[in-house]
Amino acid sequence: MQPEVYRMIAMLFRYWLAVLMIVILWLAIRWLYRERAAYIATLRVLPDAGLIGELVDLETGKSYSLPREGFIGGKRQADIGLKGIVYPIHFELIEHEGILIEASKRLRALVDDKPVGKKTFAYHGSFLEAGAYRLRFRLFEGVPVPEMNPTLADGIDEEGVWDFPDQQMWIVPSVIEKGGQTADNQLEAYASYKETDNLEEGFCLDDLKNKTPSTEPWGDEEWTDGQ
Amino acid sequence: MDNKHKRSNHSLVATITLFIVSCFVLLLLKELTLQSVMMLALVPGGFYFLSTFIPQKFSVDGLLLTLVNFLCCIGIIVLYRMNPQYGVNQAINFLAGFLAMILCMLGIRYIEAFKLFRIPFTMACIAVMLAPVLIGKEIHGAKAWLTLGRFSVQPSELVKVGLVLVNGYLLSKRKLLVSITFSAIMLLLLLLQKDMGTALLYYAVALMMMYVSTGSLSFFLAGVVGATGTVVVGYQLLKRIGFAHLSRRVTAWLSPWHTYQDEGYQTVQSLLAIVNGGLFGLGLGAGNASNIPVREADSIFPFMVNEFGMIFGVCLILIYTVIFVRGIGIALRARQKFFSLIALGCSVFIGFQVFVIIGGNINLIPITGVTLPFISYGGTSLLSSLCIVGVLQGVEWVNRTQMALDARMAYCRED
Amino acid sequence: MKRLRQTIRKVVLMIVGLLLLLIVFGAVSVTTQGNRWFSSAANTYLRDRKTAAIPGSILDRRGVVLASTDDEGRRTYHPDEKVRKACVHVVGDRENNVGFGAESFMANYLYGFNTPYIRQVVAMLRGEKLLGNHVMLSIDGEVSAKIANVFPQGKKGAVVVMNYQTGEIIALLSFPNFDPDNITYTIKNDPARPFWNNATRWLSAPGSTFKVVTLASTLRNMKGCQERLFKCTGVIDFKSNQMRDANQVVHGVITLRDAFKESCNVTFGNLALELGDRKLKRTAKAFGIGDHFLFSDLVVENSSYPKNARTNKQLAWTGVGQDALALTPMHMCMIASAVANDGVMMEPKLLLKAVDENGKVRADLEPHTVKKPLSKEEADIISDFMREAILSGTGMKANVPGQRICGKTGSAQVDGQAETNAWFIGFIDEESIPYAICVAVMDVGGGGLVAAPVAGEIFKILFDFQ
Repeated sequence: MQPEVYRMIAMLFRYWLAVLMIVILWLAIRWLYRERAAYIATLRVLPDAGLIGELVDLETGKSYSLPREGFIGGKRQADIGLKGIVYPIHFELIEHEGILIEASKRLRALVDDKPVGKKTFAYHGSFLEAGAYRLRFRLFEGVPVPEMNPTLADGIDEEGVWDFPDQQMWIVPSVIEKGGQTADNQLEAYASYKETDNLEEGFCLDDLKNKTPSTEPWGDEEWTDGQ
Repeated sequence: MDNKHKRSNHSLVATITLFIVSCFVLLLLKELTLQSVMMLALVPGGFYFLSTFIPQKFSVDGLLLTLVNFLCCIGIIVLYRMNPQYGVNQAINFLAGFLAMILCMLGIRYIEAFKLFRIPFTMACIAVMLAPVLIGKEIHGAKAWLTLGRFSVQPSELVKVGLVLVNGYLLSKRKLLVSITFSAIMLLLLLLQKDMGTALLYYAVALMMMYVSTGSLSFFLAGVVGATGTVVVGYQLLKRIGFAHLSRRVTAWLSPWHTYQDEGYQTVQSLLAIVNGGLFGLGLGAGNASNIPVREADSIFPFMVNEFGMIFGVCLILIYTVIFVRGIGIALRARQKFFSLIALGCSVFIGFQVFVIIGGNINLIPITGVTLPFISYGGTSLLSSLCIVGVLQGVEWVNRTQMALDARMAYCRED
Repeated sequence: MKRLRQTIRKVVLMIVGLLLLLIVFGAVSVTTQGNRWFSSAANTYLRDRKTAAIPGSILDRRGVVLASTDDEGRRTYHPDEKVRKACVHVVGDRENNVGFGAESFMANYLYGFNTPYIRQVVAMLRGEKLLGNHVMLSIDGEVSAKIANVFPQGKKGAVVVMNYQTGEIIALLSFPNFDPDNITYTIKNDPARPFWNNATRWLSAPGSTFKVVTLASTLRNMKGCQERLFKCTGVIDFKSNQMRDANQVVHGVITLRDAFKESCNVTFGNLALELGDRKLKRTAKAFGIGDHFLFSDLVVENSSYPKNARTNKQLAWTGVGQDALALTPMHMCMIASAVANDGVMMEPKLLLKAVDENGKVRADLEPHTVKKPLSKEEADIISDFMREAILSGTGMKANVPGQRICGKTGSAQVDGQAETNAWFIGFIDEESIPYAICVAVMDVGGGGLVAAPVAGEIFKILFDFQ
């Protein structure tokens, strides 16, 4: 094809390509926006998304939402803001092992009456003491941490256990392995999610939308009375 | 709502396929060869297939995938127009890179399995960076390439993912000093390779990751000020020692038009290509930017704007912005610090690299040696960019898995 | 994680900001400088495209053809060698030896690069070459030739004639000039640089013509300066040299008006010292010294005010137009036109009209104000002083009886030159003949002796041409 004729055709195409380009950009931005809107809608229906439980202040009864990872500190940026905590206490959920607590020695924080050291884990029901605060962990059902079985204690008979509920001895069997909720099992239950990138569809959120999901963590009410 | 959503996603893929088809039809008209026909058949088809099949198999981000595939295909189109062999090579590189992307995705999704290898991995990264300094070839004034038989690799590109992963891990464990040391070692090795552009990129990404993980604005500003100071002082010193090509770059940046036959040649040719193109360009295949140096890699943007127009150039920058914002969205939705940090590092890698390369092309900043991600010619460059996207997709996969678990947990609580 | 997310949001803003900066910077660069880049010598695209279109003609303001394309496609210029030589720096030549001449700077119009797509397709289908637009410049070929006649032969320099009401350039000459139809090897290698446009790209200290600026600064910042009496002892002593007046004259007690018309260095040196660097610099800036000129029709080098630490000696010498000041003759003409035009400085324009082959006007002259350095009252005072300089001061040789001419002479000393550069700026203070001029002759002697008579001849030419 002669260069001049080709040049004319190419010049015609350039308008077409420019139009297509703008359309592409527009569609991409719209997709971006729509998916963000869907995500926000999902979060509204699942207010606990991303949270694994609560940290309850035993003195005041106030409960703080617990994300998977974060820190407790005195500043505005802290995930859990408690005035008076000078050095941050970092917590991180490690699946099948518990919530890893790390804090500076100077703070002298205690988890279940043991000082925070190299590998200190907290579980559902653990106590955290730091500064003037006494807090207790309250995790959602389904969070993959080992459970503490209150009856399998060495040297304490059953009667003793029920008299002093806070003296329950904790051991670490892995309930997870009992055919409960492993990550992969749960994923299979949601195989339908893989077919679409629309979050709402995958979760069968329509069912959830009709009920109001309870946001109560699983656990005893007595804990709020303070111990 | 979801049906409309699905339709609009599909229309994006369809429009892009139409774009690619139009381009190849045009190139076919220019020169009717078997190769052109094959490209016309395979590339749009490949794009359509990859962009619709993968999101069905893995729960990954469709928009990110589509846009990245689009950019790679634009690269194939432009390189094919420049030299058919380049186009074909780039297409093959793209397929290889796509596989690598899927591997990275899987690697991130199942990262727990690799936790044991973290120290050997770090050592490997440093070793790979050390290799060009010791046994590398010098090209374009930078000693950044390794030749293995017929192929030449640029290790600093490959180690990008390493930098992000290692730093992400260290920073999520709050080991800031170790992270700084590691980044400093990498940076030093890069400077020894005399690869200034990539050094700047690494520095920016490491600094951003550290800033995000500490949340400390003063740290960030100290980093920026320190960098500017070092650059200014270092430039004055190195000019005397003999990093001659540095001072040439600065002259070319400040007064390209006075030196347009010598140092400023690349800059001036790039600017002229853009201006000659005008708003709509001269037309694919009918441009006149054939004398821009390095036009297949560093200066591919002016070449494209010359043929497609400035409107295209602006849209391209905006598409990169959308990719960046998407990556950041993935980082924001991550539940764990590690994943959030690596998603951030990857996004900044892409976003900042685009700024550096196009900034150099339009003479906002001096020309450095970095390439335009996804579009520039070069196996290593394409491979590393796709791996970075693979990491992003991996993080998004983790996000969606965890979201599914949350939904399950909420559902459970009903009973 | 909350802190993490907050910081990530800040990072997003930073990087998206950088990317948007790219777009903004690109858009701004291309709109302001795009044409300049397009027509610069580095752009080979022009040379390639020139074969695909027939360039239009370049006409002067009266319709006289200065450049056109003949039937064989060859570019031809005005038949009279004098006119060719006089206009060469404005029109340009075939090989773009003259940077930014109209042949290349207005290539956009001449080669029809702005023709709509449809027209191009039609032309291609018909098998004809595209005909570009015809460009009518504001210069006058005959006037330019006459001015070239009165300029001292064999000397380097420049002449600029501008309409101070609209900014139209009537004549723009640079010496030495050359014949575009006869470019020899000698011309290409002449150390006097005949290709270089001295009017717009030669920067030099303008000598006493700069006193107009110093005067403006005085009027604005010094109350009661017109009534004051100044003392000229004939010398200002600095540690390293002395400032004296020309011919060792001592003026004694003198008014501002007389100091200006006699071009008394001592008085103006003292004025500069009294004003101080900041105020003088501010006035200079108001006149556009230090601005980055981005005119639509032509390329003018930027003028500059001395930057380094200012001693008294440097300040005083700046006040009389020496030291490290650097201005182009074009800029001095613009300064003169500001005084003439009630304090409003207009942008110099070369393009009167661009017309396509069917006669449709594609571009028109649009007068544009660049700066407003003076108020009307200040401009009136300065033009009165300049009138006096012509009637009884150093500019007497520029006087043309029967017309109201205002001006200022200048003799600039240059290191390494035996003689001074002779400068003259001035204007005709008549509504119907609104022209400002600047004459600069290098290495030749005093402004009043050499530049003023040339200016006088030019004024006569301007009266005859109307």
